[in-house]
Amino acid sequence: MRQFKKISRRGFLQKVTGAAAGALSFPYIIPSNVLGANLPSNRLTLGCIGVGAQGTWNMKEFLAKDEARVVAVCDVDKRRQMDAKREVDLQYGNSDCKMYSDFRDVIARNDIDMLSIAVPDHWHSIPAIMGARAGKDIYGEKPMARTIRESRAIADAVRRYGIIWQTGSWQRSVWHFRQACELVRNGRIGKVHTVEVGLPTGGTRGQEPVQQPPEWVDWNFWLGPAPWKPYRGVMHWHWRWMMDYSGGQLTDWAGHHIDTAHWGLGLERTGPVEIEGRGNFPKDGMYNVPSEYKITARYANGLIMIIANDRQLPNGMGVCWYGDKGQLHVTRDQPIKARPESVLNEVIGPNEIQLYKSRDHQQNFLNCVRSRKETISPAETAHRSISVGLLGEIAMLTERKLRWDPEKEVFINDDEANRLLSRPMRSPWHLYI
Amino acid sequence: MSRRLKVSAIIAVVVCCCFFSNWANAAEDANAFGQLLDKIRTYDYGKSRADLTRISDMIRQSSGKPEIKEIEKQLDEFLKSDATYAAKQFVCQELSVIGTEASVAALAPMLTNDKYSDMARYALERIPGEAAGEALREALGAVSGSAKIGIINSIGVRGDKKAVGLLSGVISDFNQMASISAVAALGRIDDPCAVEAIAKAVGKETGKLRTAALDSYLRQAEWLAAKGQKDEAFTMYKQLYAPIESLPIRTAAVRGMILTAGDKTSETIVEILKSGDKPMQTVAIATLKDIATTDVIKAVAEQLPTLATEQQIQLIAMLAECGERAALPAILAAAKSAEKTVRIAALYAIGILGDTSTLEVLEQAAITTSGPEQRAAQESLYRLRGADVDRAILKKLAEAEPKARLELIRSCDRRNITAAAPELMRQAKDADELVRIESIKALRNLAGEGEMAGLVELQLAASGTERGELEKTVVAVGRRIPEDKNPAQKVLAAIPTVKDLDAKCSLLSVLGKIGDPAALPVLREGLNDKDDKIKDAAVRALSDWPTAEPAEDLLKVAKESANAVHKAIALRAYIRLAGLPGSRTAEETIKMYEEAMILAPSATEKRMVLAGLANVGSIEAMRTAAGCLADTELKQEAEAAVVKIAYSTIQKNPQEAKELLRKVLTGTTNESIREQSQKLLNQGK
Repeated sequence: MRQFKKISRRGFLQKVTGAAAGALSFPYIIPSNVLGANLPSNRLTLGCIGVGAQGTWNMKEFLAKDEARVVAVCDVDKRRQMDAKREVDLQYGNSDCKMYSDFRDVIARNDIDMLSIAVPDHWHSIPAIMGARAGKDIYGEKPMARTIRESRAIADAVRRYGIIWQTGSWQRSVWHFRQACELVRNGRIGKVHTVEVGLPTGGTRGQEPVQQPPEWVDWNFWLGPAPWKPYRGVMHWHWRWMMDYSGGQLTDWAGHHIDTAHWGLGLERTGPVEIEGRGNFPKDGMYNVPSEYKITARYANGLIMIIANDRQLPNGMGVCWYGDKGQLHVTRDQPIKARPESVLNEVIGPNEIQLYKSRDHQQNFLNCVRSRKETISPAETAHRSISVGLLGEIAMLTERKLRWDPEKEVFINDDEANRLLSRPMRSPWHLYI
Repeated sequence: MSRRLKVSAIIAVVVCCCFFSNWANAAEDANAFGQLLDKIRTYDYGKSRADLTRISDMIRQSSGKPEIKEIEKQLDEFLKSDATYAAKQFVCQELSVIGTEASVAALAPMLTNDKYSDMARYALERIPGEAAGEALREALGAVSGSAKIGIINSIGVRGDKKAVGLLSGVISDFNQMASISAVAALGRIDDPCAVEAIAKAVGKETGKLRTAALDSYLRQAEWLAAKGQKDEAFTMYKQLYAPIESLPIRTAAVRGMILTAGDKTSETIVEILKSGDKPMQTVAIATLKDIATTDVIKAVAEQLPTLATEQQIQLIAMLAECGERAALPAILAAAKSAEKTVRIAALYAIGILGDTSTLEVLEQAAITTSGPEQRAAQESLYRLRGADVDRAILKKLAEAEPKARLELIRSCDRRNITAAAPELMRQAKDADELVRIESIKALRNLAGEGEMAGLVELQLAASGTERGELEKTVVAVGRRIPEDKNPAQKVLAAIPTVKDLDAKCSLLSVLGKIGDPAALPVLREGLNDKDDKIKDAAVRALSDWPTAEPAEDLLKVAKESANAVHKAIALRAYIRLAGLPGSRTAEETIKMYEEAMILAPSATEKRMVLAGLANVGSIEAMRTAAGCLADTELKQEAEAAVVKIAYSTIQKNPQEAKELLRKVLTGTTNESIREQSQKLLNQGK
């Protein structure tokens, strides 16, 4: 695989059905502004579960949309509750936003149409499934869940209750990622035989002593379904470097770059048939997710996907597809690179594959909540993206080549690996609470 | 001794040695594993977990080998010891992966102990076989509270059919959480008795317990459908379609009914669409994509005019998404609806489902309507699919009225019909100015090498706005022609024949933007032309050059020109070119910036130099940028440059980079600069 040279000369059910016709919108068929989605009487109400760094970012995106109304914020950290409420009240010029510590109280509110869920990975499945059961449309952060079984349960609940789900895989709403995927999907680099997915490299940290959790945090609730462990000074954001709560950079970024790789290949509703990998798991210290990792997955059509931390790949971060007629690389904040460069001038005609169009991830979600159409990053697709990351994690943990049935979603003839598809939850938590 | 006997004896000795050696190694390994286990008896949270890692590694390495049994035995024994909670938790996690029925005896007693119940379940939930299931069922009767709920949940995850009776009994438990867990667990057990118990709860219970029971009921219906028992599933869904049920449950019921209706799918959807129940109509429409057969689409499309406006719009969009052309007649009828929003939706849908036969409808709508309706028709003209559509558009283009031609020309452009280039060249000479301009714009994307001479000819003949549009088109086409095919050849060929000064300047201007090296001599010559207009055009053309090739020419103009405007244009272009990628070394680039800094007449140009320098990752560039820290007019840009360069130089030249950063830190009043500098300075600590 060659590195690219520097370039030379070249986004509610009742509100929908009960609303005036002018309030309807059609994602990617009819632009929402055409049909007047901004009518104040037709605002969609939102409850934000988890208002840490990412949750607050998502909340602010919704605060900027006139057609959405944030009415509740929820977090196990009281300080974050207050910060979020302050932000919401400041935006609306009132003090109507309610604060909650228990997501179940938000979901129980009948006047809330939608949920924005941005909690640690080990907490993704329970509120998502409960929210779906309550008929709430959900903007849920990636990755879908901490285990493949939980992720599958979310996708099933979304389909069962016919709710609208948008995963926080926002790269899909960034134009150059779409452009790259469309070029690859339409064979501009020929038949793709290999795709490299570069994700960030992780870090390590020494041991931290057991200490009293801050008085503003309900530590037991924070742990939720994860095994009981005492508080050791690490909680917000850095939970992602501990296996009880996340799989590290690999599972954090799977919903971005593995998702993009699948999008470009039309493999969004399936998975690999074989996977193996090696990871550098810190032998000691507080963090125990792999800091470096290299995983090779083989799909039924023979395609090879190599997923590694950026330092182990010639093109670093991003997605690089290799075809029999060329190669194409896409990542954040950089133009697409292609060989031959002329691929970049290619225009996709009306008779070719036209990928879903969205330039605003939150807006696409709101549009779909109104039209009841599938979003650009639906649950099934997100499930398939994180599955590759989680399969890679299991391959690294078992240190052997695993055979995977992407239809039945089980490992073939490997009882130990199959045990790792789900995790026992600490009482009283369970998926269908 | 015979040779055969000798060989046999040697083999026997080797086999014995290997056996005893393996036995000895296994015993040694087991002993080492035991010693390691002993070391972690006092392990606690916050302490080094290095020994835990070693144990995990040893377990993994023994996976599938005979010694794993001894390891499992030692782990089981460990659970009976006085080891810490943390250590036992770790061991349970390991057993959850490698544990067998042999471990159940050690884990089972922990289930009834509130403190250890969760960790025991962690292993038992994952251990296959009847023994683990029996242990969980037996413990269920002996516990209460949290432990009971946990055990119920684990039984559910295991899908233990033998526990259906026990769980059914727990539904009436005084502890509602336990009841909810029980009904949820029953939803995970593939057994007719579980369905019966859930159905009973659905009929009898209220509130949260009923909600959980309904969810389990739905999951059971899905299982039945997946197993091919669609009639039974349909009956269960239909039961939940009752108006007394909540919206989410009815939503799931309608979806389920439609998906399990079999040969009555059309009938079922049509019945819901005729019900007048808007929320359920919406659900039915949204479900359409999962069962979009031609017959279903035809039956549903017939209902389109009977629906309320909002459901009509939703159905039109869904019919389009399903991509079933059987819906086209209904969509074409909707395009004539009295309701504007319905017409708009239909026009968009025609763009997806239509073909050559719908070209006329879209073309007429694009010409006769305005605003959103016109945009919908135009967008559909651009996306209409079919092998013959492009050809049909071209045919119409040759014959249509000017207003229609404008729409068709735009369609050629957006559809990327490169075969339209010759016709567009003809349209570019049309009597109608709007048609000419639109054609010139379309040629910008569609013309190729073959049209270049004709475009240059048009450029020379045109004036005003039209010439400006032609210049952009010639540049765009020229930039698409590969360098080895002399992209500027036709422009260069025309220059000697042109007498008109403005026309000549127009040609020089496009030469600069195309960037064909073959044009450089002509432009260099232009710099010395006696005519000021030509000279001006040459300076501007070289300033637009896409690569760094004319840098020296521009530097000379910046230094020597008598024209202050030319000096300024050339200097700014020189600074831009210094920032372009090329084969220069960092030192050469810095030298370019230093020269530009000396020539810079004002702080504006100097700031441009600093912005460029900031992208050169070398200590020399950092030093040059730091040289401007004392200049109050440049201080801010200099600080930003020093900090930006520091990111790439601090590893290689820590001492000097830090010294310069400290200088920034001492003088800056910018909070962001201060934070970044401090962060960089702290890196080496």
